[in-house]
This record gives sequence, C-alpha cells and structure tokens, in this order.
Amino acid sequence: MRHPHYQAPAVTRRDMLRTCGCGFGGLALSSLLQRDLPAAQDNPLAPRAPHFAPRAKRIIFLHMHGGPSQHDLFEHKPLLVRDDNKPLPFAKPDVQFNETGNLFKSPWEFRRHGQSGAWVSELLPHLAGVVDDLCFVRSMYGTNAAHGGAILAMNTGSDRFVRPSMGSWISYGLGTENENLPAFVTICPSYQHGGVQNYSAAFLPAAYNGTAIGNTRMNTAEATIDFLENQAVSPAVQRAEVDLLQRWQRRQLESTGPDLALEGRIESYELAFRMQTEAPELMSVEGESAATRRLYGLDDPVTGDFGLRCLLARRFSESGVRFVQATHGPDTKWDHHSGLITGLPRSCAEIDRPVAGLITDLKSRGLLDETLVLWGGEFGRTPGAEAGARNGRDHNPHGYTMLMAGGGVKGGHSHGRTDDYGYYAIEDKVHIHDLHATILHLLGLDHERLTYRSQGRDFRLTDVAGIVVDDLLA
Amino acid sequence: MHTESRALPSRRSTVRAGFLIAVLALAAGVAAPAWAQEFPSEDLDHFESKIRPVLAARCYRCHGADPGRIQGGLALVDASGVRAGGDSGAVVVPGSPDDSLLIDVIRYGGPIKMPPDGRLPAAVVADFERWVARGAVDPRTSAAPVVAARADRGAAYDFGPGRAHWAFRPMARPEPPAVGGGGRARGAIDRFILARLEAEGLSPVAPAGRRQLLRRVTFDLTGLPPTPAEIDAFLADEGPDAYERVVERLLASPRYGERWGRHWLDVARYADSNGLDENIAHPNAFRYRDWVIEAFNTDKPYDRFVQEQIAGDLMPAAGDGGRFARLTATGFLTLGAKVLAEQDVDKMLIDIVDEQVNIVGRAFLAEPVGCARCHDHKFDPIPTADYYALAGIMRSTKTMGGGRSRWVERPLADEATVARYEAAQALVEEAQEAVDDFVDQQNENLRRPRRRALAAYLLAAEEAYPAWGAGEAARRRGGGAIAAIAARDGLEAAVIERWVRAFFRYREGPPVQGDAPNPGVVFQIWNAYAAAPAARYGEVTDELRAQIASEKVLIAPLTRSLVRGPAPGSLDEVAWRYASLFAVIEIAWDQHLQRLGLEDPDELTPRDFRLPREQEELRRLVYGGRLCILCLDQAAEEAVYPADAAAELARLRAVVEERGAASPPEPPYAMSVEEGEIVDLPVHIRGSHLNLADRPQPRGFLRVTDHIVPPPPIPADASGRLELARWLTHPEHPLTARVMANRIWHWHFGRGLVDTPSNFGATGSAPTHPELLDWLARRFVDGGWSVKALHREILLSSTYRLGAGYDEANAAVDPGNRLHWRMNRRRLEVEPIRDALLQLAGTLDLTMGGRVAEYSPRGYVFSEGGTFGRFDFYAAPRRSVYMPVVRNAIYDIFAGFDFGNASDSVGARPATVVPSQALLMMNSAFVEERAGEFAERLLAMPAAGGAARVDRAFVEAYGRPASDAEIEESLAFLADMRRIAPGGGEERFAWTRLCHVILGASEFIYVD
Repeated sequence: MRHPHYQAPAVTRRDMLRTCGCGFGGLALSSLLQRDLPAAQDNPLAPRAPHFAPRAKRIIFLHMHGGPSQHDLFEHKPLLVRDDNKPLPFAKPDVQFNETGNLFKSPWEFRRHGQSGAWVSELLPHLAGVVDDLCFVRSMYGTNAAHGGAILAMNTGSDRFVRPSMGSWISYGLGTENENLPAFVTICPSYQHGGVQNYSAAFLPAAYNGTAIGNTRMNTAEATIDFLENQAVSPAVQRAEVDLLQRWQRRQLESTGPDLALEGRIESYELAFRMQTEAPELMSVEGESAATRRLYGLDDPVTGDFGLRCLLARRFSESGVRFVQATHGPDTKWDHHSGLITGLPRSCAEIDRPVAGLITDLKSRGLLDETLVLWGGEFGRTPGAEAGARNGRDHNPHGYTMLMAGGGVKGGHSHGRTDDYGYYAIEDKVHIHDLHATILHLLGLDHERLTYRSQGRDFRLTDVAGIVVDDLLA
Repeated sequence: MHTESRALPSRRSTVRAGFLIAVLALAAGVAAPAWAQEFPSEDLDHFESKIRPVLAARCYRCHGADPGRIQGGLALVDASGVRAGGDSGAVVVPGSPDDSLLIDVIRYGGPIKMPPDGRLPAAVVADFERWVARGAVDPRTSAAPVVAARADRGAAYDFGPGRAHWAFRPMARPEPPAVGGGGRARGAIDRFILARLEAEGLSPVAPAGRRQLLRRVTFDLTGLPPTPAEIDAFLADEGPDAYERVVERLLASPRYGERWGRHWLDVARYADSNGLDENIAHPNAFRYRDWVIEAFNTDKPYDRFVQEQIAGDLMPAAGDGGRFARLTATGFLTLGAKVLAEQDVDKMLIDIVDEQVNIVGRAFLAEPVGCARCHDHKFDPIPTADYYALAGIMRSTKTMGGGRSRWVERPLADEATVARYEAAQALVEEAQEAVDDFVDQQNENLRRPRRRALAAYLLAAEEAYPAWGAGEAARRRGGGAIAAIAARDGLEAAVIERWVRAFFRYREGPPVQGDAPNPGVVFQIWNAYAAAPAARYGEVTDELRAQIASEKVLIAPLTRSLVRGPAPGSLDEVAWRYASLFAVIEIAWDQHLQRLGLEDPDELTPRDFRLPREQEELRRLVYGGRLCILCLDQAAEEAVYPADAAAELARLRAVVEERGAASPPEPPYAMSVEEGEIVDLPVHIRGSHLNLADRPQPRGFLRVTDHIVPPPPIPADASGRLELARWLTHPEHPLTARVMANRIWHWHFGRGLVDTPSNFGATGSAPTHPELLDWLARRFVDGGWSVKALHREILLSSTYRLGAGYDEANAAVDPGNRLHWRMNRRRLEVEPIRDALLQLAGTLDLTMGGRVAEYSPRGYVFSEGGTFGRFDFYAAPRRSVYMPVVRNAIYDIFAGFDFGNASDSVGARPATVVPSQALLMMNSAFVEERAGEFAERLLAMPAAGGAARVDRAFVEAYGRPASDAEIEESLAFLADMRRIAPGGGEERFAWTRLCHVILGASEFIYVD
C-alpha cells in the first residue's frame, strides 16, 4: 500500500503536496507549488520528464467498440476469395466465442491506395485517401474472445484483474501539459464491458482517473462533465457564496496553524470556480470554421455525431490533454455476428469521414507529428461466416488489424501478417502488451520502468511482458 | 456450466512423460554420447548452420542474452542452459523430438507457442526436429554458464531469513513502560505513547475541548455529527465519568455497527454488482453487509467473525437462524469481481480462486499472498508451493455453479420450506403451460387460413401500400384502402395492415442492424419486382441475380431460388412463387413437429423448436414471435376467439392466479459457498493454468508460521476451509490479531501503528510502536477478541483525547505526528459527509438493513440510462452504508470523495483534496437540495431571530456556536441575498444560500 503518493491524514507539507492533487485537472495547488516547492513532481499531475526523448506528446485513441472486421476493411486475401464457402483448411482455436461456419469472402471490393499501395475496401473511401499517413498493424493478437475481457485487456493490459488503464498510466508517467484540464479525457465511453474500469486509475492515485464526458448512448452535443455546471443560481450569487466560504476557511486556517489539507481546499475552490468557465468553452465547437466542420462531417447526420467526438478529441488534444479516447457507439456498433451486410457499411459511413478528417486536420495544423492516433477495436473477426449464414463473423482475438498515425510511427507502412485467410497473426506478431510497450515508447516512457508499487509489488501496464515493436517507429 | 469441479487434467501428459525420462537420465548421471565433447562433424555443421543462427536470432533475446531477465527460467545461450531446462522442466529429450518441449512449442501446436512474435518456417522446424532426433548436439560452452533462477524452489525453500521479519515473529507480552508525564497517562496505551514522546523530547499538546471531543468521538463511532441536544447534555454533565458514559452510549447505538461495519466492508471489497467485464447485480450481497453490521453491533468476537466468513457453512450452529447467518457470512469469499464472460472455464475458476486467496491474505493476514501465484514471493517468505496449498482449499470449495445464477447462492430456509415453495411453483408453471398450450392452439386456428391465403395477403398489402404513409392522414387513407380490399377479397383487414406496416418500416426506415430474419431481407426480391412494371421483369431478374452474386445486398438465402429459371410474367406470379416457398416451410415445420413429438418432452429445449437457420428465417415471419407478419397482438387475436374458447382461456388463467396466490413467498437466498470436489492443485508454472507442474501440492497453509502455529491437519474429504479458519484464529497467530488491532487503531486515528494496514510484509511499513502493537494484539486476544473492548481501551486513553493543536517544536521533530503528540485532523469519509448532510436536512431515514432498491437477479448494470436503468437509484435518504455499491459505476457522490472502485480490498481510504470535490459541493443537486431543507428547518425554529438561527446552524454543522464575526458576516450575506433573490421566497432563498456556504466549508467535513 505504500507508494509515492501514499496519503496520511496528518502530514508534512511535502506529504500533502503529494496527495493534494488535481482529480479534475492538473490545476490543483499550482500557486502553492510555485511558491516554495522544490520539486514540482510532487504534484501528481505536474508535467514530468519522460525517460527519454519522446516521439509523441499526446494520444488520441478512437475505439471501435465491438471488433471491426479486418476481412471487409483492410485484409485482402486472395485465398479467402478462392476458397469462399469452403471449410477452414486448418484448426479453429480451442476457445471460441460462437460456432463459425465456412469461409466467407468479403462482399466488398478492395483496391490499392496511395503511394504505399495499401489495400482498403470500398467501405472506407475517406480513410483510403490518407493511407500514406497510416501505419497498418496487421498482426495484432490477444487472448480473450469476449468483449469485456478483450476491452479490459486493450485498455488496462489485463483481462483477469482490476488494473489501471493505459490513459491513467500515461497521466501518471507524464502528468498533464495543461494545468487547467485533466490529463486523461474519455469522450462518450461505454458503461458496458468493463465500463469505468476501462478509464479507471485502479490502484494509482485517484488523480489519474480518466474524466468522462457523457456516455456512449448520448448525443455528443449533450455530453458534459459531472458537476461542471451550476443549475441553481447565477454566477454572481455563486461568487458571493465562494467569497464568504473562503473567508471562513482562511480564518479557520489562521486559527489552527499550518495545515496543507485546509490550504489545498481553499485553493481547490478557486480552481474549481475557474474550471467552470474554461472547460465548457473548450467543449463548444461554435468557433470552428465551416470548412473544419465539414471536414469532420458535422454537416451530415450520419457522420455528425462521431465527427463531433473526433473534433472534441482534437480540441482537447490540442489543448494539452495527454490521452483522449473517443468511443464509437452506442454499444457494440462493430459486433457484426449478423447484420454485417447492412450494419458494417453503416458503421463505416459513420466514422470514415470523421477519422480521415481528424488525421487531415491534425496534419494541416502541424500537430500530427506529435500526436499519435490509434484506431481499432478490442479484437477482429473470423474469416468464416458465423453460424452458416453469410451475414456475420465471430470474434477473433487471434489476428486483427489496428491503425496508427502520426506521433512517431511510419506512415504508409504495413507491419506483420496474418495467415492466408486472415485468421491468425503469424508474422511479426504484436500482442496487446507489445502495442502498449510501443505506445509508451513513443511517449518517451520505458514500459519496464513505468512502475507503481501496490499490494507489495511493482506493477506495470505491460505486466511482465511487452516488447517495443521497432518496425513501427518512424 | 461451471458446476463440476474436477481434477485438473494434465494437458501435456505425453510431453511430460518425456521430461521425466530426460530428468531421470540426467539425475542418474548418464553421460549420454549426445552431450559428449566429440561430435560428428556432420552434426556440428548442422548445428552451426541451421540451429545456432535461429537460436541467436529468435530465442536469445528472452532466453539468456540478458542474464538478469530470463523468461520462463530458461536460458538457451549455451549447452548447459539447454540441458537444465526451465520452469516447465526439460525442454530437449535427445533423440526424441516428439517428447521435447522445445519442438512442441515451435510447432505451435500446444498451449505454449514459441517464438511468440511469429511461427518459424516449417523447414526450420524440421531442422530442429532433425537436430533433436540426432542427439541435440550442442558444442556451446560458456566460462560462466547462464542458468536462470527458477520460479519455484519447492521443498528446498528456506524460511529462516523470512521468519526474522517482525510480523512473523511471535507476539511479545510487553509491559507498559513507566513514564513521568505528570499523570497524563491514563492507561497502558498512554504509557507506550508517552515513553516514545519523552524519548524524543516531545510533549503532547493540551487535551481536546469537550465540544471537540464529543464531535470527534460521535463521528468516529457512529459516522454522524452530535445533535445539539447531545452537545448540551454532555456540556451539562459534570460527572467524572461523563465521557465514559458517552462512549458507552455510542457503542450501544445501532449507528455504531453501520459505521464500523462499513470499515470492514472496505476490507471485504463489498459490492452489489460484479464489475469487471459483466457488471451484473449481486441482488443478495446485502445480506452479507447486514450480517457484518450486526456482527459489529453485537460485538461478535473477532475470531468467530473470521471463522464464519471463511467456513461458516461448515460450523455447527444453534438453530436455523444461526445456520443461515453463517451461510451468509461466507458471502465474503464470493463477493470478488469475476470475469464472468471468460470462455475458458479453467482460467475463470483459477482466477476466482486467486481472488479468494488474495482477499484472505490481505484482509486477515495483511500479506500480499497473491504475489506467489507465478513465482516464489520476492520479498516475503511465501513460496509458490504455499500459494497453491491455499489455492487448493479454495479450488475444493464451490463458488460457481449455483442453479439460480452462476455463483453459488444458498437458501436461507429449511428444506421443507424450500420444497413447499418449489412444489407450489411447479403447480403454477403447470397451469401456465396449460394456458400457453391453449393459446397456441387457438392462435393456430386463426393463423392457418392466413398462411393458406399468403399470396392474396401479399398482393393485398402491395395494393394498399401506396395509400399508406407516415402521419395521421396517410394512415387513415391507408386504413380505408385496406378495409376495402379486405372486404373485396375476404381477408382480415388487421392482417393486411400489419403487413403494410412491416413493408413501410423496412422500405422507408433505416437499414436494419443485428439479427438477420426480417421481412426486409425475405421480401427483398418481392420489393424489386413490385417497384417495376412487369415489362421490366427480365431486367429486374438479371439485376437481382447480380446482387445475389455480389452478396452486398442481404437477400434471404431460400428466397434466392425465386429468381432462378425464367423471369416471372406478373406480380401475381411472384406472389405465387413466394406462397409455394412458404408452403414448403409449412411442410418442413409439420414434419419437424412430428419428429419432436416422438422424443421425450422433458428433454426438449426451446432451441429444439427451430428449423435449420435458412428455413427458420422464413418460418418466423408466419408462425409467431415479434417479427411475424401474419400474427396480430395477442389481445387482437383473443378478440376474435370463439366465445367458448374465450371462456375456457379465462378459466385457465384463473387457475394460474389462484395457484400463484396460494404459493408461499420465495425463500431468501444468500451468496455463499459450499464444499466442492476435493482436489489438490499442482503449481501453475508462471501462473498459467495451461502449464501445470507434475505433482499436486497438498492443501495447506502458509508454512512461515509453522513454528508458532501448528498447522491443523486437513481431512482428505474436506476442502480445508474449516482448518484454515482455525489456523487463522489461533491465539498465537502472529498476524491475525496484530492486523485487526492495527486496523482498529487506524480507523480511530486515521493512521495505523503500521501505516500499511493491509501489508505487513517486507514491502509494507514497520510499526512505529511495535510494543504497543503487541500489547494491543494480546489485549485483543486475551479479551476474547472483543472489538468493543479494544475501542474502550483506545477511546478512553489520553492519547485519543488530545487536542488537534499545532506545536512548532513538536512539528519540527515529528512533522507527520507519527508519535501522537496531538490528534490528527481528519477529513471525513464520504459516508459520514453524506449522512451528516441528510441529518442536517432533517430527512435522514434510519431504517436498518435490507435492499434499498429491487433489481432483477443477474440484471445488468448499464448506467447510461441511470443505474439499473433508473435515475433515482440513489435517491433514498437512507444511511450511506445501505446505498448500493455498483462497481464500475460508483454513485457519483461517493466517487467524488475517494470511495474507490470497490473491486479491490481497501485498507486505508485516501483523503484527497481535489477541485472536483469543490465542484461537487458547489454544483451538485444533492448538496443544493440538502441546503434548502436545512434552511427550511432553521426557518421553522419558533420565534428565533436571525442571529439565533445562524448560531443554531453552526452548532448543527460544526458542533460549536458561531462567533460574533461569523454571525455578523452571515447576517450581511443574508441581506445581500434577499436583495438579489428572485421574486417571492426571498427568505428561503437567502437562507438556502447561507446553508450552502456552511455545508461547503472545510469545517463541515473535517474533524479535529
């Protein structure tokens, strides 16, 4: 239980500064810190130097809840076409989610795009337009064939235990760039399949919890942060309240001798009061140009909602939030056990323009170099049709594709390979732990040195595994 | 599906037999020629050209290149490492590739696949097979052979050094030291504390004032602020034992168990939902919570408290009440978060066992035992073997597989009661089945003619379709058209309308997601023809064939046959083609039912009442269910039942009602465990359930205390939980009593004598006052493990009664107050904050126990629409301990103040100070409403002036009167607020604002 931020009730100034942090933003106690703190790293969210020079400063993770089918989007496999409707010529995994039937070639056409000549299906025309900025990790693999476990593994590295999320680890490792904002924001997350666990700090200090904006079933335009707005009184009344309250709190402090908790609490009220105005401004996209809004598809009801999530992701990221996750939903929108033929085009249409728009926008703002964009689901899907009807595919954690862009990864690059039918990753395989190790590496963090002592031992995002995938690095 | 516990099969028995041979060969010192220094040059060449480069490129990185970080205990950089093998045993059996683990793993056939980053080409695998087959010649030597440390040292484990750690030494019987201190020492505790202070040259600050002390002890024992009446009574009580009587009053209050039970629930990772991947309700967890509260209120001796949670189901009990309480207590073992959707059942079960071993270790022993799952504990004397000895006890205990839900729940009723309930329910079900059968038969009578007229309905729906549309007017117009057609063709208007609506939805609505069978997919071909003039049917047919070939448009497979052969000449013909397709389904269905009729009805499940998928897609449209276009709502169908059938149905339904009313209520159930199939677990190498050691580890306990606590033998036919419970509560156990005494100290002072209350191991903290800790632990055991006795010992000490004042000289030496020269100022936990808000608001409901809200067993907790789909889930003004604890979606007020995520045992709640808490106090509706209610109570005080009301507010919130300055400031603030208040209700507005300030200030949530 003892750790660098261990909280004791009656504490020294130094102890206090360790804990008296900034659940919401890195803004707690900033004036205190500037006054006389020798080491700014005692503030849990103060910017912290990475282990080595980073390639990326921030991450945007676009999570496609449900598990997109690589066979219909990125994996062009001639043998799957040739052997359509035949049985799989090799064994299926021991543990399967559902029964799958014969091979099922994609109903959609694939073409090569860009200078890199990457294969992308006709379902993603806008993404196909930016393939030379994309790094295709074609040999992702995990172990868990159920959504909950797989999403927990993707976000926390563990499908067995309660562990801190990737965004929490990164906040812990690097702090926040902007003291007025949280270090880790998750836009419209799902409460299913691990829910809050997927952006929770677990045993890391609470300051590293992700801040949720709404949830996946909401219209993004209506998503807010808890308790950010006062519904009861005018700002003038609220100011008057805070003034009286602060007068009493200062008097209490004067009468009791030094007490950093009481001091911190006084500070926290001022900071909270400021936050109330700044965060909503950031979440308003009214100032964005018409061209930008079009770029993200805000002008179209199909793309508008996820477009707004992507645009908010850029705004948060641009303002210094280290880790922004945006979830495409509601619910498992990519879980095409059935309804693939009507459902997949719809899901693709919703995200295609916004994701390409985000990459284009970051690039034109000169931000793509220092922002790592990650796109993918918790697993991929089987090359065989589910239950015989040629309208769906089952979960497949054994081989799937994720996309990366910017932030120190190679553009127009393809890494790894699945077998000739796209079922198992077989070459240059990238386990989720390896992906995590690589992400941390891009941020300048050594995944083996980013540790936290809890329950008597040091924990890592990558447990006891993880190898940085050098081939992805630009 | 997880009901059977069983011996774990050995998954690689053939391979393992191979290890054995190799190990024996080595043990016997057989200098096999293959390992000799003289090698045939052909074999050497093979090694150098085919094997060594691959080892270097693909294996060294994790197996020896960095000797400090060797994976799996296997080094492959020289011959000795290859010979020694790794954690999984020998890797090469010379001459026998099929018995060599190395070959097994590079073939990618078994559970371990190497190299992990990609399979070796088949030719390389063949090279390795040949190499092993020819004796595994390996000329590599190193000056210092690289040999990996093994994960498990097994029987050779040396406990000696570990036993020297303070926490594993026997408890001492220290005498309280003699101290000066001018009579400040009231009891033994004070003498230990003063002795240390004096040794450091410190002296304690002045005692707390009476108001301060009353507020402190009241919050401490009950989690509520003292009422003005309680304050007045204490201030007026001049008796020498006034404080002692307050302590007795508070210990006797039922509020005490609610406060201290909640402390234990933190340790027990109590929650009302599973969390992790499948967040499903624990509808019966509350019984365990209520058992804990009751145990504290009745001062259940702590040894019994521990025993019942581990093995209550195995302990004799007086009467049913006692037995049920003990069953409930074992809920402790099963409250953990589980990965419920894990597809690998063995993995799931061993992970649950791991969670149980962990919680037992951390809660009772403050030992992170879980560290030893994968390797011998790196810091504490816990070998992997001991972990699996404990794990065997839990694996022999049935946690999963109760019939009612996936985890075990046991009835809290005698067998006869359960049997009566089940019998009554069987009668209800029987009556319900009669209703269902009758309804099916009557509906079938109505639907058979509709199926026969399917082509006519299809054409009628198409004919009426143009008149239909969105909006009232279009619907009326469409209704008229439908009625006319129905009358003309002798069809049922309601059926045509249902069909038209289905067409409308699938033709005009958004594309369909999810499950395939629906009218849109089945009538895709119909739609294409219906939209074209008959003259174009040839082209339409070609287009449809192209679409079918592309598979980009979803067309029900069976209907694809409709476009084979010559194109239809008219829409009528298309309709007849559809009708004949459905006629085939009708025949198939009749035959299917006849086949089912030959089988034992008890063996049939709903799954059996289905045709093959492609036929089923069509069948559902005409035979029943949500999508059926030939079926009306049940009420509409019943409206046209013949009169005698309607009467019979009413009679059958009355029987269901009667039998339901006659059934006794469902008996209560508790989350619990029971003895399972007894099994000893082998060590799971590196924690993997796919990689098991050869020898099972006999069930047992941590051996580090064997020299102090003789381990009770475990009978062959028992899990060992009862023995575990006895072992834990042995009076000489060096951990159990120390750990709980320290927890109690921690909860009184905000920090334990050991400030890592759930980690007494080498990575935890050492005690600041080791003699005092041992004295308290002995006092605890000698006092019959009475928790309340220990409270008295602490609360009546001078140490507890110190003021919270600051002292510069003391602070210079001991800034963290680790030596107790003053009382720690403490931020309240969220439960007392919320409960105090409710008490001040005058709305606190002190009902004890029970479920606050009903939720369905195994219901999901998707909180997007509010928890369990409800926004008012936390609205009940009950004490916070009774608020549901929903993992992954913790009540936002709780989450704001460090409640944690409830999946993990919490020994010490943090007390962070963060701006989000200020936002919560400023902006949450909960605080706003309480401020309004508090204001109304103040305004309702009879004949009081403003100053008196302000004063009263301060007494209620802070336990002290307001100062003159505070009264003056408050009155000025009230005047300002009245001025800017919205019209009407100025008084209430102004007082609400003032109360909001009073509740927001630090003094409300801090206790001195």
